[in-house]
Amino acid sequence: MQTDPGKSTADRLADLVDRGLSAIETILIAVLSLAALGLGTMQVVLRYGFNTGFHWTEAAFVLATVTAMLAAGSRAVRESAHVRVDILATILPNAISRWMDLAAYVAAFLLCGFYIYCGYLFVSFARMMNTAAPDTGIKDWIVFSIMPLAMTMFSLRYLLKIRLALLGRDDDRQGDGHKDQHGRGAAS
Amino acid sequence: MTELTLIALFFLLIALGAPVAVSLGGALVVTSLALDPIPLAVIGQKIFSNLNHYTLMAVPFFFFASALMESGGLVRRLIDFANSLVGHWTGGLGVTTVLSCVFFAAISGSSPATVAGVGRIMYPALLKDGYSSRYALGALVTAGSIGILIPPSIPMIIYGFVTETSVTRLFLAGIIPGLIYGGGMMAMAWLLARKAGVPRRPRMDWGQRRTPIVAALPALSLPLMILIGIYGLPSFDLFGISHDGGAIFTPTEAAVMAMLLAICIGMFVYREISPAGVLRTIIDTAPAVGMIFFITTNALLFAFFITKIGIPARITETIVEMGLEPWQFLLLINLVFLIIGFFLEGVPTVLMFVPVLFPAALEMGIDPIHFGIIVIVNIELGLVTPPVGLNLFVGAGVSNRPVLEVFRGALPWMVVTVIVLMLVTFLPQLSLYLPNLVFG
Repeated sequence: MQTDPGKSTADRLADLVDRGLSAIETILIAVLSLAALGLGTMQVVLRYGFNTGFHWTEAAFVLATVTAMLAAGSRAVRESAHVRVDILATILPNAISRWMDLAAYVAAFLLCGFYIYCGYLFVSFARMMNTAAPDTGIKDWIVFSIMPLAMTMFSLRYLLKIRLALLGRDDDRQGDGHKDQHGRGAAS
Repeated sequence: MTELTLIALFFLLIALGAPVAVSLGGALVVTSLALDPIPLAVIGQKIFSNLNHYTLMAVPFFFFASALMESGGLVRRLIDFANSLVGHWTGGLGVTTVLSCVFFAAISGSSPATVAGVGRIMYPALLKDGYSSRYALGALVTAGSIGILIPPSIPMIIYGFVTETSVTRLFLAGIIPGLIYGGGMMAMAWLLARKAGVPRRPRMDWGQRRTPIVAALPALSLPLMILIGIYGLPSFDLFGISHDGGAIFTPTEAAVMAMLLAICIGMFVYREISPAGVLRTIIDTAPAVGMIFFITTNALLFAFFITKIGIPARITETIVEMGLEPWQFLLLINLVFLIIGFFLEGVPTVLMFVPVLFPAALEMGIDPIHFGIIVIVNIELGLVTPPVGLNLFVGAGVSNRPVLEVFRGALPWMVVTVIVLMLVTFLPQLSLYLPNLVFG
């Protein structure tokens, strides 16, 4: 891996975190979405083609899809694809809107941090109860760990955003929920 | 006090430019911690279990299916097909645009995706044929909004999920209003083109039409498969072969099959997408769904909290005390959603406001399916009203024209949207006829 001599250690660390997160997100989105597609298809084919099926398919399908889409939510932070109402930010002078962005990122970071803590509390409780999902047999604490882990990815993403905003490099201020002209960021 | 704090914090975060999901979650968490605590472990549980629902899983797969339709060449075939049928009419290419949006809507479930998918091909074609930029943009952004009315529809899935209304019935309820909307848009396309004196295209003979029709057949099989899958074939007993009727798969399974078919048709029939292209499309499309999921979990937590402190019950009580007639209530609802539509797009609107207003609608005796269709048409209007009209942004992106020009272009076409809104509001049978016919 080549290093850019013009970059500071903090820049290189931020790049490393960004690339690491991107790799994890890409793998989770691609592998789990395709796995969910496979599971969903198998469910339909087995039920209507062979009048049979596995009792765990539906739960596994939901689990794979949710995990993939939470990873995609983390990617959406990077791409500023989370919908926001940015009317004030477009009217106000750049310097003020930059500080507003910073405040919004800090709020998002704190919220994700809070969810990590709440998620951890519930995971600890589920671990103590030692219960498992009836369909898959997977321990509940493992399933419920998905959210605090996803929120950790969100938090890291928002931390990177906060850094960029502080450095005045956060020029990717779309945030109206439309990622590109293909409408792929569009929800409705 | 709790209500005031919650609302003030929410609007403060919104004004700061925080994502809608964060505004909902942040306002709820701070208010709850300060004034009316929810056990933290319960928040930890709900934030995940809010998403752990089978119905919600239809959303990503319909998203993927529509993106794959575009990258797999299905959209282009559908447009060629529509053009071969109506391209020679007065305003033929405008009518083609509307018809293409109807075809695309029958698979995509997302209005902005419809505007983008059809617009990237039709916008330059309309300009080349002598249509004005405003005409082209107006046709695209308003007809594109049909994507959420004709099934499948992502906001309908979210509405069904939030209100525990049957998504299958909702899909069926959207068909007649969707066709009326499409018909109205075609009439407007004809009227505006006639007024502008746009030259007509020569009529294709059936030999020329054969190629686009045959090429579009695999793409057209997709919406057919979705409809047959969700609603099944009617029961029959012919020559010893019998079928009991009934649905073949759920809306979520339909979404999975739509994605699978879009991949197969794009890869093996049209050969316009490779396995790497499929992966790229999935990875590019997924963040939009991730965003919806994050809003969903926060909005449901928000809804849980406002129900706990009794806000929807109090709103219902107030509306009942006002002594409104159902039609007055529905007019009020339209006004509220019109104002919301200026600032918010569809999915957040459903997630944030439907849990608050739905109990009041039930109390007023409004059918949940009818109410759902009213909400969806209101969202269609919101998609083309500034300052936050998502279709306007997508239209501006597709055409490289200013958002204001896109809005000016959309204005005459919005007459149709308003007429359809009034029709679905005051003629519940338009929404309820098909669900009642099929399900009794």
